[in-house]
Amino acid sequence: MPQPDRPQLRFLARVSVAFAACLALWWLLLVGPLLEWVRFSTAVLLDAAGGFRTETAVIVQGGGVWMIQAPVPAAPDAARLGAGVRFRSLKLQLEQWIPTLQTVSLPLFWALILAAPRGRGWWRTLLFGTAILLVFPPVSLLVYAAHAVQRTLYPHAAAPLRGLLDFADYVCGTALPYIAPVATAVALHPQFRVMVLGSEEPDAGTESRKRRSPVGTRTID
Amino acid sequence: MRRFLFLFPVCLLAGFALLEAYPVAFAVAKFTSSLVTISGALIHLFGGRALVDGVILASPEGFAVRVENGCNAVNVTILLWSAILVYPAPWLQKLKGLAAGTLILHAINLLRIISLYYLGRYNRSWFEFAHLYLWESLIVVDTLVIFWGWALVVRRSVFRQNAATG
Repeated sequence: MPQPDRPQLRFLARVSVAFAACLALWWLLLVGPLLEWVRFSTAVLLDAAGGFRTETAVIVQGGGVWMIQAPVPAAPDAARLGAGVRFRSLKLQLEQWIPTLQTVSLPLFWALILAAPRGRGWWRTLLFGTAILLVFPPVSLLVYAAHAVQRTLYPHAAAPLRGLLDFADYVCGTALPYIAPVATAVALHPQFRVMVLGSEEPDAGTESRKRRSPVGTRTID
Repeated sequence: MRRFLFLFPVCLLAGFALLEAYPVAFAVAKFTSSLVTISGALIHLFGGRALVDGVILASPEGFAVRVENGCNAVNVTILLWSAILVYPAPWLQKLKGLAAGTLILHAINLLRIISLYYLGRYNRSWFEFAHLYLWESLIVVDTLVIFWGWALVVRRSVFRQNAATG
């Protein structure tokens, strides 16, 4: 009796092995440099937003506690006190697992690409996807900081703003680190995309039938 | 496929936004505490001991886990539902996929909650690692595989249907 073809289960086995390897590599060797990237890129963004010095905008303190100097608008009378004062700062402390969590998307993305069929230029997909995923952590930390500022200083802010920040913080903190690597792999890897979603090219021989059908007629594993 | 790639993120973000609505948040909180109750019952069934208090699963020795958003698999359920709902397939197939996929996903999530409970009792460092980095990533991969398996079944059934009708 022929065994049913289940490419998704073979993929699950491959991705599990690859993820174990990539996660070990990430945890043992790469998490330090990646956290330094998150610290630096977040500080540059804060520098651009609030006019703080990049060296002090994000500081990693003893015990792995991060301190973010978040810009908040200066009080209305600040302009009288000192010319050009637009921002004051709120110092936020966060535990290191929060920025670390933002970098876990990388080993997951690498595992997905390594487990997917490796056509020509797969390594370019790996590099390009890695570059895309490196953009998310500083943006997510800024969203986290904005949410913390709103809850601390402006608890009675307009409901739409509160809702938007709750939503953005939930997406960036809980969903993005895990969903972004899968979405990036599907978006950047054409063979993987076809495997999961089916063919996007019309099959000339079955074109007339496809018009009646809700899905493509080619079965591509 | 372009339609899918456009509608999927829209549907996903709409699903996450719905979580902020009070009635949905209330229902999710009830669902989360029922997950903890089921986890406690399963632990008892297999001879273990656990105390259940709302969304907290505690051991008699004092270790406790609090199941919150992110650990209740609601985010990956929204991920799966978004993918299935926008994928071009007959509605009956979609309903079957939603039901079966959700059941499989939450069975895996119960395994996650119970395994984290035991891991936390014996090693806090490993608990933190598995909780934050390992299990959540694996459950997203499982969601992808569940969706892929369903989409494959849909494509094959349509292929067979088309072959039969000539």
